[in-house]
Amino acid sequence: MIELRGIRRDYGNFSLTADLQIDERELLTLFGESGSGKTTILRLIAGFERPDSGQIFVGGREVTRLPPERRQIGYVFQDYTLFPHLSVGQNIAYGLRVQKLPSEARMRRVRELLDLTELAGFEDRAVAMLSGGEQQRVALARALAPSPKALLLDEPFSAIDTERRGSLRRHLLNVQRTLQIPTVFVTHSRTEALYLSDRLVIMRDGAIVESGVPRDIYERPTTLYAARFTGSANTFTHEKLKRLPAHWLDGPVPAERAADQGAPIAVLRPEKFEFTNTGQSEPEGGCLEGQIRHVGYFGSYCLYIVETELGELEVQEEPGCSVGQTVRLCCPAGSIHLLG
Amino acid sequence: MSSSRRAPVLISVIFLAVILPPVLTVLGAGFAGSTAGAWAGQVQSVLSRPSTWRSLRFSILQAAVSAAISVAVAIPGAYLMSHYRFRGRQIIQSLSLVPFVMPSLIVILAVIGFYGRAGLLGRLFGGDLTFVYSGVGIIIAHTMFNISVALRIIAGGWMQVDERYRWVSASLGERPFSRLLHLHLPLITPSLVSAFIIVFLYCFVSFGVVLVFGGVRYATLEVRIFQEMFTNLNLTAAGTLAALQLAVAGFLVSLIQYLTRKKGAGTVRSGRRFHARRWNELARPARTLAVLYWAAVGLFLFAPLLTVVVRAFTSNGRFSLISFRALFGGAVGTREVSEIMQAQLPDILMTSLGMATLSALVSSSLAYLCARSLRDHLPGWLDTVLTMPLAISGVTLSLGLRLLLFGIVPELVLIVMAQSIMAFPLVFRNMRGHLRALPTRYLETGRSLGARPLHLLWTVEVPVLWRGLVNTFAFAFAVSLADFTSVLTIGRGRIVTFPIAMYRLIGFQSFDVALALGVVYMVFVGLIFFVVDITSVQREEAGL
Repeated sequence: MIELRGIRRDYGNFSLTADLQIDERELLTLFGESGSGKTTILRLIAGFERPDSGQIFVGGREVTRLPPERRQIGYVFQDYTLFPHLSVGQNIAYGLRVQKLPSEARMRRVRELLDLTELAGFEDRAVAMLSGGEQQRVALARALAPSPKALLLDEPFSAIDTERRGSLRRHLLNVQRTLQIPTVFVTHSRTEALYLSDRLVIMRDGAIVESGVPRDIYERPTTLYAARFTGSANTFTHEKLKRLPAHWLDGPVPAERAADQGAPIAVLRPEKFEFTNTGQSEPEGGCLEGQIRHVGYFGSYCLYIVETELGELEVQEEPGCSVGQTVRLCCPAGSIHLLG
Repeated sequence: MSSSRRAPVLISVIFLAVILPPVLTVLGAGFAGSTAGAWAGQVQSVLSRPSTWRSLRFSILQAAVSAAISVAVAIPGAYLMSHYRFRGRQIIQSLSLVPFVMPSLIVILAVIGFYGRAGLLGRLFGGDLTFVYSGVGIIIAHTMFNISVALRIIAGGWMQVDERYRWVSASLGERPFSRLLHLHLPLITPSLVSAFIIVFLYCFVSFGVVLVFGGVRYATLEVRIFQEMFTNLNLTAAGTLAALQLAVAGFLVSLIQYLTRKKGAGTVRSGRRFHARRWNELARPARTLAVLYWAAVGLFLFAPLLTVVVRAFTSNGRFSLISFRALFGGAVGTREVSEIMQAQLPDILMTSLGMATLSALVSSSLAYLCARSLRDHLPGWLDTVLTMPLAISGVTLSLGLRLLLFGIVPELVLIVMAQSIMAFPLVFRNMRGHLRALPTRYLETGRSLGARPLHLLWTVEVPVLWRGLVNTFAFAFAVSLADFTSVLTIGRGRIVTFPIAMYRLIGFQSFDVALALGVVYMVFVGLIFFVVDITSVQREEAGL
């Protein structure tokens, strides 16, 4: 388990605060825009930076003042930082050598990791000869070889082709599930954040703004920032909400929010909307009518921009409609989520 | 406070603690043992001498001209080196350094032999080119020394500029000349300025060159300090002149920095890997010009040095080994050569080698420690502090160390100290450049795998940086081997290294033997560089 208790780190023009717990088998993702402090949290846990105040615990032991080499935490950098003068096998064995493991045991462990990361047979290759994905797996194997108490990954997939990322993500999940090691993963890819995390922590301006299971954050975000960062969202002010069927909302608007003039207080994911045939009678509870302004084609679905009396709305629906067409928008009860 | 924020302060304190006491000792020399009034009177008399101001004017003038010429000549070369990949680029880079690591006396002999009375140029074109025995000779020698320094600094700065700027400019339709003026020039101004400052300081405090060429008419302040100290035995005058020199150097450097400072401090974006173009991407006329340029620079740097070699091997217009025979145990006229040099050749060899090795070890390890702890954060003021030894001058520093520690610390150690401090600014720059090959995150990775800093040093830093470390060491070694100032000032003749022996031979008018010694020296340094090159190339082929 990793715990950050009352952490503060001040950089003059930027300051970070964090209270965070990462459970024994959890894969936690730090997610947010660049400069929000995600990597700083990793560096604090790893010991590359020291907090100004607060405490850090790893596996029940306080490590706040320990140098990185005594923390037993695996770290994988964005560009892998494989040692250029060592072969694949020597890179993986680096941490084991430091531990002064006898060569027999060391070789066994290296082979174990080569198998785990599907790199068997690569042992003697020069690291410069590897593809990006292979380098990434070597870096992972190297970090895991000394059996660390936690694993930290700083955007490990950002330098990999999009089509290769899928298999690497699955691979990472397999490894993490096999070893059951607390893992913190930094990314600004929405797909990675939603797909990989047991828990998602959203950061902004050096602070944690939201934390939870990806599905909860996606469907019931507390802040507009989290809503927008995890996916497309139609937003509504109280003014606009009043002109929509009341049962579309997932709850009554609290009085204090109702007073909030002009600020969005509710969100609706584009895929909640559905088109209903304009020829049919209006569904119970009413619907919105509008005209398609733009069609964005994404293969299995389209994103339609629909001009309505409430302004432009984003709708995710099956391909088939075209610009200029008049459509009716409906959504199931409770689809619009009230923030906060 | 984290270590990264503490390091600059700590380093500057230690650094100043090392260099300030000797300097202050010289500045205050003569004050002890006399009354304040008498001291002030003497200071005033030194400052009211016309010769003091003539020397100052000449120091500034020759340094400014030498620096301007060196920088101007280096710009096209730096452009070619930083933008094009061509056969011999590496060789040019190594060769251009040769004059810089030669003892000043060899370069002087070379300049005289080439341009001077009965020199090669004079014989080819007739007439007597006596101009060389004046300020012009000093400027020629200084430019020969410093072109390589300017070339390296400017090319280094140019390589830092993100190649994509050029692509953007081209895509916006900018013509090459306009691009040079409006894009490149502003971006490389910082490296032009720092090249100018470094060369200027080198020439401003230059000693050997002026000592031999200038005579009394063209003495710089540096030479006057030496004369006051050891010829006139006037400590107060030496201290006063040293203070004047330091103040003027400090003022001029600050002025240059102030005048050229960037408004709104925009930093050049770098980080993208440097992309060198192929030679044949250069247009044909430009290629011809470039070849002519290298040929001219090559001629300027090496034709004089070549005359040293040729003359060492000739006697009365014929090939002869007579000078070498004299050097290896012979005599000039009635006097033994070893008597003139006041040392045996093998001893000179051992002393030179030993001290240069020690100095290079000290300065490059210190440079490594500093560069490593300052790698992510080198504040501008600290850069200035670390460049200070260039402005302090060898004579002042050596004198201070001698006054302060003579009798307490052996002379050899004092010389090693002086040489390490003098070499430090350039060795440090050199080291910083090499350190880029190993970004901090590699060290962090190692530490997260459990390696302690010392373990990391042997398992990652030294192997990965091997080439750069050897390179820097060799550079520091050559600079210390060529040092004349501190050996002369501290050793006072009892310690004989190559340059001192050469100085004695020249003083005895046995130029030919001095030239032979110069050739031995060149072969020696050439061998060392050759070995360094071979070892580092082998490491490179091993995948580094």
